[in-house]
Amino acid sequence: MVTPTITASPAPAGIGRYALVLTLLALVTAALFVASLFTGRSAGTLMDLFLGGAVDDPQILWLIFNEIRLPRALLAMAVGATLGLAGAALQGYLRNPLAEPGLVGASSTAALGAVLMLYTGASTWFPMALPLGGISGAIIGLALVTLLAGGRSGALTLILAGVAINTLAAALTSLALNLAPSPYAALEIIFWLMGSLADRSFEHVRIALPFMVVGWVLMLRLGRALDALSIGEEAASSLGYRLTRLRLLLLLGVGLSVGAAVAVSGAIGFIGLVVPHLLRPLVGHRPSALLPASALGGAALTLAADIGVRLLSPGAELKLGVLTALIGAPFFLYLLVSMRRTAQ
Amino acid sequence: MSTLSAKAIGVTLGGRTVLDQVDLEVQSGQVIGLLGPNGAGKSTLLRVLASVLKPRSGEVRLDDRPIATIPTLELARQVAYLPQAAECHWPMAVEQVVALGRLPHRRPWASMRRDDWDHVARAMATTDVEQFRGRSIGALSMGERARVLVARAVAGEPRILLADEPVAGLDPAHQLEVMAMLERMAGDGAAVIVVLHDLTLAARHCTLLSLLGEGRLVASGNAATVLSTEHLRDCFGIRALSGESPDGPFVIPVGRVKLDE
Repeated sequence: MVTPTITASPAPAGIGRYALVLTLLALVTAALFVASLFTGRSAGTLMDLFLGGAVDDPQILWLIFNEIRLPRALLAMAVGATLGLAGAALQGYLRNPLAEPGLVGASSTAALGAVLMLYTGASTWFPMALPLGGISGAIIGLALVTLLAGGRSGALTLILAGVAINTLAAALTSLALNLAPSPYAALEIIFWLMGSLADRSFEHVRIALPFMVVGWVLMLRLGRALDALSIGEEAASSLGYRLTRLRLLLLLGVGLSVGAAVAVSGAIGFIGLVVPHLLRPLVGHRPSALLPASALGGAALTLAADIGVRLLSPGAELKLGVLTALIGAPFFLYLLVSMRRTAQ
Repeated sequence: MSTLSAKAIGVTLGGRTVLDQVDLEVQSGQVIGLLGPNGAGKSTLLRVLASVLKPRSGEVRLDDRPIATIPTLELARQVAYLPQAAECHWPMAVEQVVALGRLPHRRPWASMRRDDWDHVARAMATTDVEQFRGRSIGALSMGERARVLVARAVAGEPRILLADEPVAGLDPAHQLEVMAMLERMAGDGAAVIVVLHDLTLAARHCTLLSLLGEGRLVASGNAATVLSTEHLRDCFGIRALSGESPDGPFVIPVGRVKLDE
């Protein structure tokens, strides 16, 4: 038998489509970003300001634009990208489409850290105590999960350590609520936990963004290792990927970015679960290709949801986390049902 | 010339001695068939050789360098390992699965080059999976998937190939084809170790055979020595019909032998 010779190098199928998917997602994200800037009260006059029309008080409008709208839209984008990316990275690592960013314990410990700031009243003296407390909480939680699962054992240990830390953090959060000094304080904690991006400032962006960016870089670097893992841990290891190192980097990437995101926004569910799920077929199921796509998709969906809460309830604002859960849960059920149908 | 050699390998898993003082060596141009009943330690030995599992005692050397001292990426470029019953967890396109074999050869962040795709195409041609190129691996049959994963292992053009039951689940024609491919790779200078259960394939396509029984090396050498009546009886508990056909030797298990000692 002769070794077959290949005359023409075949064009890799799906590469063009992948570029198209990324471009479309980026365009949608950009459009939603702009829409987010102009959503809310005084939207009409803001438009006038940019179109050069006559406005009563341009200085106040600029202030609204720069100090309220811009940080809100930036945070929606960054938080959404974090959740989408972390969801895709964890699903790739665990080879399980049901994994979500909260799995490694960073979001619940970040929430606990922030709640403690609310509980002790530190946040009333120093507003930035809230995100700083959240990030500290995430780092402590991350350290604990790493200690529990950091050895060289498989993915199951990581899940169990995450569950243990999540349970502990939830219990301590309940304890803070239980012992809240006043019903008003308890309400404040509950509202914060629901997740929102209203009334955030550039200070929040400055505190959270560096952690998120570090996390993004860590997660994006893991793409190829996640691809290799799709044919099993031992095959990946024989392709030159060290699994312990991979897990440590993943844990750091997810923990830092998700912890920082939760610290500024509270808990926003379902983005990290649904976005990778939706986009996976569009990128040919490749874990590495899914990472940037999910980051863009998460940003777009969070921006859209954050526009949604402002349009739906201009008065007492619907919380962002409540809306994502309200839409996300039935949608996820629909996904599960349709998945079962195709499997049959 | 490359040589992969294992000296006095001992492995204990969960308190049980799985391998005890096992030696094995493969050189460029050879296909070594690793035989033995279930639980004899064949897969464990292959994992040790692939550096996926660290042995309790003994050492594996690649060209006289202990593999523990070789940087993982360098080792991954030279040694390919195809695990038993390999699966792909996501329904990716077949050529993307095969392209995973190029991972150790790619620079960080760089995309697949033309040369990488050439290797992928060649690997798909040798395992007869070209026609599935753009299809999802989830839509293929078990045997077709197994061939795709063989293609993945050879796409890296390894100097050493360690394949754990690569023909399990394949139809006879594709079994012969995969074995012929392994021989061809050896002919091109690769060193191949393959775990097999089919004694005829082992007798016909392997340069040398090694027989494991209960974690120990029972015999090694040419097919006639290793597949002797005594070895088949003591190790596998079978009687076999063996002989020569115009195409080569055959060994067909025909009955069980009760060992009453």
